[in-house]
Amino acid sequence: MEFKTVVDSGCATVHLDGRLAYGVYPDFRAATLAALEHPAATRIQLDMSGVTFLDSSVLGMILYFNQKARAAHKELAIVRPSAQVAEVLKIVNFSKLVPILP
Amino acid sequence: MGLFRSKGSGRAALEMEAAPSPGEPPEEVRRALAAFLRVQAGALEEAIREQGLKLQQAEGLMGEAVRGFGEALQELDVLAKNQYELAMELHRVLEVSLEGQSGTQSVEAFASSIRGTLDLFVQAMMEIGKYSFQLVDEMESIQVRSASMGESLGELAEVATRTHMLALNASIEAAHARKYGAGFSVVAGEVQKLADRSGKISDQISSQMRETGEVLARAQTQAGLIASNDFNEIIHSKQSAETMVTAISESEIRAQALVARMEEVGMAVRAQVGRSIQALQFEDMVRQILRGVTVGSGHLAAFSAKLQALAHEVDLGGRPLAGLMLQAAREFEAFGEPAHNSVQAASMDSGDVELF
Repeated sequence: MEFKTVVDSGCATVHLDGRLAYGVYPDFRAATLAALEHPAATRIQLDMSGVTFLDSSVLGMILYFNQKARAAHKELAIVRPSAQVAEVLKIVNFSKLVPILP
Repeated sequence: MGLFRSKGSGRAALEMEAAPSPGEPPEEVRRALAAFLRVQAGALEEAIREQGLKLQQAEGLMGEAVRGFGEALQELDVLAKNQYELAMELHRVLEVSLEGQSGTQSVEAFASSIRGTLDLFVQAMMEIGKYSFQLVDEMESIQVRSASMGESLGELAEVATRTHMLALNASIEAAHARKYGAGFSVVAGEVQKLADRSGKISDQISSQMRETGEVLARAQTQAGLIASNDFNEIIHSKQSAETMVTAISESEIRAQALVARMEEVGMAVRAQVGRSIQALQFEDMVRQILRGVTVGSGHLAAFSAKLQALAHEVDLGGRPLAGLMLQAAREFEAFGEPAHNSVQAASMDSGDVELF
């Protein structure tokens, strides 16, 4: 599963979709590193509108990427989470760790 | 009683009729009057007797009803008191859990503590996940470097082999030179020894590298397992626990409100029971009224006896009829006493109170 990364106006958006679990890590890492290393991107967004299932291991994945983004002085945010994703993020108070935008 | 109340006009009429009478009426009239008086007296006695029986019956029924009602009210008062005390006890129990004592927590504090603990637990799980992915990446990096080191060791082994071959060739050339190559042969022998030693060391490092690589591969697998650990069940358990804690907190608040309401109702019931018991005093008032009616019945009985006596006198004919009737009219005046005014059950602000 490859994730598309689009850079526009200084913002790199990684479009995540489908069922996210530990197995997607190589593709997740490739897509997010591309966004992180893009010279024009000062902000990074994880678009989760197309995600139908979220394994809790993905939360650790995102937190690890957030750590790398901070080290690179880039802001990370989750945008447009699907209903299933929003429910899980709400239960674990994920917005305290990574901004979540509608 | 209207018979007694009309005494004034009746007496005047009798006086007017008696005065001009020159003589006695015929015997038949006298006897008829006597018979009429006897019938009236008899009817009056019968009515008095029947009313007396009804009064006794009413008094008995009322007394029984009041006794039963009074006992029920007293029982109700005890029950209301028990209910109020239970509500107070429940209130105290709930206050203990709400306000807390030494070593206990209020429900609200407990709920907050549970939520905080669950938050910390889930955050810790997510942090573990984060570091697990970091570990996976770093293990992968070490494996890449390890592979690179393996390539370097391969080159080192190649160098040792070629050095060994070079030393062997040098020894052959030294043999061809005979006595002039003796010193060179010694050097070639030493180089060969070094090449052998270098090759052995390279083999040892390669062997250790393979073992390290296997350990790294296992560690990477373990890191992957930790990172892939799905704690969705824990997340859902956290949600269930939070829902339960919220429900407990809400139940606590509702229980407090219900207990407060129970206390209010208990107090109101006791107040109403008190009012009902006070209202039962109407029994005394009704008894007083019934006694007044009984006294009135006695007066009526006396009146009936007077009528009987008058009928007897009229029947005897010994005295003039007009005189008899005048005397009877005067005597009947005594029966015209004013009606007694008792207090009312609804209010004791007015009326004649005799018994309490």
